[in-house]
Amino acid sequence: MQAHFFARSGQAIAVALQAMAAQDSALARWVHPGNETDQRPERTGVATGFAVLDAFLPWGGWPVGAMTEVMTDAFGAGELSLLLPAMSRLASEKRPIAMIGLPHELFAPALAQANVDPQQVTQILPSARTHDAKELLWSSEQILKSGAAALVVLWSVPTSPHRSAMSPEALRRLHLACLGQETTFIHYRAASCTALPSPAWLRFGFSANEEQIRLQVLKCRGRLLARPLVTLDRAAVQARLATRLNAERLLARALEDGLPAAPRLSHPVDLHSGLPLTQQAH
Amino acid sequence: MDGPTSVRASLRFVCVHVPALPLQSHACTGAAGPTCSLADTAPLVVVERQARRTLVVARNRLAARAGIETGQTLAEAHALAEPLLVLARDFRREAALLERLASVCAAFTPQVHLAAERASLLLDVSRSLRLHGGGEALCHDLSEALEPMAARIHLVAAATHLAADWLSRAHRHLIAEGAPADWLSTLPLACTDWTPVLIDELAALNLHTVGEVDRLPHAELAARFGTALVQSLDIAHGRSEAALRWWQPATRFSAHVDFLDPAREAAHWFPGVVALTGQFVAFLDSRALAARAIRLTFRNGSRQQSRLEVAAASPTCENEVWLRLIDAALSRAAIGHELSRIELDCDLLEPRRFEPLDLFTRRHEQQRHWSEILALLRLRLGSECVRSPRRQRTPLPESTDTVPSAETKVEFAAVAGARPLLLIDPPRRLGAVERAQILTRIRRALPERIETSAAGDTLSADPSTTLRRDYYIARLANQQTLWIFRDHGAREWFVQGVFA
Repeated sequence: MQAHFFARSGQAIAVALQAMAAQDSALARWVHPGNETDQRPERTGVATGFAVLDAFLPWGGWPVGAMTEVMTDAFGAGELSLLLPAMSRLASEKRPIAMIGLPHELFAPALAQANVDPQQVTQILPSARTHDAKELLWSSEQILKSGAAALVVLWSVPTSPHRSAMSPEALRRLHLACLGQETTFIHYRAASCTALPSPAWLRFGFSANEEQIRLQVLKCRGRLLARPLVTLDRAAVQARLATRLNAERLLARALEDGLPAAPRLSHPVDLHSGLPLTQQAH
Repeated sequence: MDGPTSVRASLRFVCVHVPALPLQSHACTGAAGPTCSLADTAPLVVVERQARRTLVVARNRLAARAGIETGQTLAEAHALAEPLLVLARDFRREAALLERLASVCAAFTPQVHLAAERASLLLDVSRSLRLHGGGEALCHDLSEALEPMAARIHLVAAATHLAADWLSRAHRHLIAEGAPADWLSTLPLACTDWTPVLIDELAALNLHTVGEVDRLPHAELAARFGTALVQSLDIAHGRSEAALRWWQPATRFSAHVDFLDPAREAAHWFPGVVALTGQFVAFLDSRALAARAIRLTFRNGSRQQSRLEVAAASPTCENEVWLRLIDAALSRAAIGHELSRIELDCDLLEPRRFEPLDLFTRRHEQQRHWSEILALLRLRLGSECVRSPRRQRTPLPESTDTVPSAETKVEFAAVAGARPLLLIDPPRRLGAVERAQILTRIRRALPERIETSAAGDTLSADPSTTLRRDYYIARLANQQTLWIFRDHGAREWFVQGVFA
């Protein structure tokens, strides 16, 4: 009789524990403790090529299968160069890249200088017809839905007054088209859209000065909302340009101050080959 | 040969007979044509001009119920039924219907004989019977495959092609297993392909069935009615063979849809495009082919005509892909006139290829999807808007070279200097105010000179053909970095790139 009672009570406890566990798991779906935010998501991103940025982003780079927004009014301050390291990596893997709605066409030699194979890059240029933003949105959606491109860059910063800001519905459609695909989607928007809601997982405010590129993090899924500022060295972002400007600066200084005296060489050297003249003679 | 011998034979031939072919060719165009509905609601006859008379060659059920028979004149038909719909016989439509049926039958056997004068197709199925599980199963499959193509067909399987052909006039569905003589003995002479004069002569001798004629001494038959009669009897009974000319499938696809009233709205004529692509894909499926490009012609009589070339990224046979591409192409080049006919043509047919499956990476699949999506975008936006960055032919960055055939000399190596990510093409001339703002931001010490000359190395040979530019980098107060140049010939400043 006693054994029977324990058996009965043991069953009841087991049922109660199962119910609690079920309740806990149901609750766990809806309650997110704050300490979860620092956990890295399972999805891996595409490395940005900038260690600071990669370390900050929960995906270890640009998120894949989600929209990233770069809010900028700057044009010609290195905003696209920010993507060149990622583009170089993806192009070297022979994965297609789509650049949609850029105000001017991409210059192949500049891509080649950044080790980006121009053959892997397809630009969808605005024309008399595609000035209609709907066409560019349609193109973006088709490419995102296909999941065939590794990187899609959409430029919707209004360069003319007749191009208005994108509607929330259009943004939502683009984001949905991107979700679950193996595509990194970078969307350049006007800084005036910063206050508008967006389904993007990652949002940056972009600004630049002579030395630095500043990325104000407006939203980052998986991080606490602290709006940190990520600062990149502009010379690192626009390496080729920085080298050129540096050379100009040095030459200008040399012209102003006069050339420093050449070091005295113990052996005369051929200026073309760099070899000692005596060695060359042999 | 006196007295027929009994021949035991297995099934070899299937006859697909289309009764009232002149009528069905009007009713079954592959799309839901207007005659389909009219044929069921009003008496309808198909007429043909013979000598000076217009004779009825086919009629629908309502016309038959009104007493109209084939062979009557049109005047007699009008007397029996009023109102009466009258259509002229169209041999091209009949041939097209038989061709469509033959293309479906070709999936069952490559040996298809097209007997247009008998409104029949004869299929040699001796090598495909086992594959389909016997004559009954094959006829069932064939019937299902042909069902969407024709409203009514007769299917008869027999040991010889003539037996199958003759029996198909009397039976809607028959598997005539065993000796042909067993099935032909009671078949009326009207079911044979003999001339009406011959049938009348035989009837005058009280011979009304094939069996009755076949039982007569063949030597006497040949002497009285000619050897053709005996020969056809022997072929029908399997005592001798006859070579059939097999149908060769068309190497190109061509089909059209006509509209009774001119259609202007896309919503009205686009179903015609859908019907055509449906026919096209069925054509491709029946031959295991794929197509890379199709041509659509939209006509408004002979007055207006628009052409649409639709190219896929890779050979395809999927209806959805074609419709998607056509839709994209139409959104770019809208048809601005009324339509009375839509034609679809395709010359570039290729055998279908199946790429090996890569179970470990999706790279090939992604590349195929990427090619497809690029083809779609090019159709909708135009190839000038969807392209890779242009390769430079000359050191001049812009696409429109002022000296196209120039030999070029570059003072600084082209790859040495920094190049802007975005190219302004053609270069934009700087206005006075803009120039004043920008020129204060550049250092004039280190320009990159690009020169072209028509005279090769002798740059100064003809100053009019020489182009000399000094390129500078200007960083403005708002941190915008521009690639600008001074043209020595025009003595003007231009902006040509943005270091974005």
